[in-house]
Amino acid sequence: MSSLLRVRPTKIELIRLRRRLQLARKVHRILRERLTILINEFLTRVRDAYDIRLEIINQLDKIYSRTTLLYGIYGDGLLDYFNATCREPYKVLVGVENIMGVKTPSISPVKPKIVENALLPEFNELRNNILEAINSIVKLAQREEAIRLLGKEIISTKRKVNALEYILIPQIYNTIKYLRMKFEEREREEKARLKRVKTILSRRR
Amino acid sequence: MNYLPLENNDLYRKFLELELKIVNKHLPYRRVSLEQLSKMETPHIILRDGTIHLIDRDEINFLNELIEDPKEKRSLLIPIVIEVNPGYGEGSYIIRDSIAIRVVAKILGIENPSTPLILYRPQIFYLRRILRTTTTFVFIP
Repeated sequence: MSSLLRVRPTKIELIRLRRRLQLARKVHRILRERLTILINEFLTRVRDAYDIRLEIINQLDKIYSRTTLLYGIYGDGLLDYFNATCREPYKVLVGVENIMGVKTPSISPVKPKIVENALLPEFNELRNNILEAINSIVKLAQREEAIRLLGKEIISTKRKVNALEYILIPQIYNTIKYLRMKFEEREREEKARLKRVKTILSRRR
Repeated sequence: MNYLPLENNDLYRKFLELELKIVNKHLPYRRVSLEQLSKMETPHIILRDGTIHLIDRDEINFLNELIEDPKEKRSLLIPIVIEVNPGYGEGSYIIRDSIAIRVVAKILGIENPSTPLILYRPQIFYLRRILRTTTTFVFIP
């Protein structure tokens, strides 16, 4: 699908169009490169998210089996033990990670203050496992949000690249071609007219 | 023949120029040395579009382990700039900073790196997986 731009058939317009074609090609090259990088970032995060998800499944599996075991031994008071030994709630530091202009959330966990060695060793291990799992879940959330935002940006960049490749550049190119043909035609007409004038003048003499 | 309205021509030009302007908005106002970043409580840099870009603490620790010389830690500016220049051919990326070249060469296992260091897509993808927040791309139109 390509049509012509509506321009006056003058030399100035031809020069302007040539410049615009150069600019459009430059932008197209850069956007295409940006698109490649964005897709790569997207795929990297998808792979990361997959790995983290597997990690979480393993961690949760470990936590559930250990919790069931400890629950069987120590009973209902298990959760009270955890509350008693954590002075602060779990906190995360939320900021921005800018990936090529895409603002994705950056979430880094802040280590909570814990009373060390207040519990039996098996409880300590369980608590560490739980903290690790929460950290992994936070990491996964960050990656998945980045994937969503990068996906949106990829769609819009792809639209721009396609618009340039299939509409704008062919339009400008065709208009330049059309103007050139028009100028050549004018030149031929001019030549024919001059020849005709010459013959008329020579006949009069 | 389909003609587009006359005023659209100017719109196209504006769109193209705007795209070139905003493509490098994610660059930082000022780069910060690795040493300074290590000292910050929340390592961050301010970008041209006004956002505060958080740097991953793990990446800073990784770079600190990689560079032994304290002088180099003071001179290595973060984020490491990777130049995308279509003039060098599609899919090639350039790093010009000499200390950054040494660091990147160590990560990628390149012996005797050239200056400027020209990298290709697979290398860049690997590098970005390791240095996610401490590297950035700059587009040279």
